[in-house]
Amino acid sequence: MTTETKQKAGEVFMTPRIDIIEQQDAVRIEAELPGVAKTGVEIQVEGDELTLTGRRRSDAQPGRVLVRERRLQQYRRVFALSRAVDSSKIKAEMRDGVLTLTIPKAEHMKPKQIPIV
Amino acid sequence: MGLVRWRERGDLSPWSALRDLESQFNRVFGDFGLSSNWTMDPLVDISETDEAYVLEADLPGMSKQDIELSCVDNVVTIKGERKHEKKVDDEGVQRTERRYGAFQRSFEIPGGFETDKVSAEYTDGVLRVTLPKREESKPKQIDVKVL
Repeated sequence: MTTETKQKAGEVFMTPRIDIIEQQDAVRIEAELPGVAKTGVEIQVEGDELTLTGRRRSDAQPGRVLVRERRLQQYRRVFALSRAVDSSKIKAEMRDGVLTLTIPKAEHMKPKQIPIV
Repeated sequence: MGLVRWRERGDLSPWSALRDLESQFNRVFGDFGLSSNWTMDPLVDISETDEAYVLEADLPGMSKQDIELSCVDNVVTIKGERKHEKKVDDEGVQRTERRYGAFQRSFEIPGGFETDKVSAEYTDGVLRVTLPKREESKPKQIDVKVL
C-alpha cells in the first residue's frame, strides 16, 4: 500500500500517501499518517526542501502477533518547494491520522483582479 | 483444533485458514470490474493476549460514524467508506494517491470471542478492536498435586 524509501544508511522509512490540492491562494498537501499523534509529527524546512517525518505512537499492540500486515516504520517524505510558495507561512493540522499542510502562494503568484475603469 | 489439511507452502497456522476465508469473502462480496475495493482495504494487525484478541486497522482520515463493525459467530467484519471531501470549485487536484470509496474486510477468529463484549476505539486514524476471549478458550492454570 505504501512504498518504502531508503534514505540514510540502515534507516528505512515509509512513504506516506498524499494528495496535493491547489487552491486559489495556497497549495494544500494531505498526508496519511495512521498511528501518528500530533506530537509525533515533525516538519522541517531547509532551503527549498520540506521534510515531513511522522513517528507512530509507542503503545504497541499487546500480546503475541498473529497477523502482521502493517509496517510500523517511521514515515518520511521530502517535498521540493518552488519559488511560487511562501515557505515561511506554512500551516499544519493533524486530524485522525491525516496531516494537512497549507502552504500559501507567494504574493507575486496570487491572482489579482484588475478593475476596469 | 482438529486436523489441518497439509499445505504445500508449509503454512500450518490456523491463521492461514483465516486468510483463505477472507479471500473467499472478498470474492463473494467484492465488486466486479473496476475494483476500487481492494486498494482501499485497510492493513490489519491481529495479536493475542491471555484475555483477548486485539485487531488494529490503519484507517486514516475517517469519521467514526463511517466505520461499521459487526460480529457474527466467530467472524468480525470491518466495513466503511472514506468519503471524498467536497472540493471547492476553484481548487485543482494536482496529485491523488489517497484512496477513497468503500471497503470491507472480515476475519474469522479461531476459538471465537465474546460477541457482546467487543469494544472498539478510533485514535489517530487507527481502529483498535478488542475481542475478549470466551471463558473456555482462556489459558487455565491447573495445580498439580504431588502425592
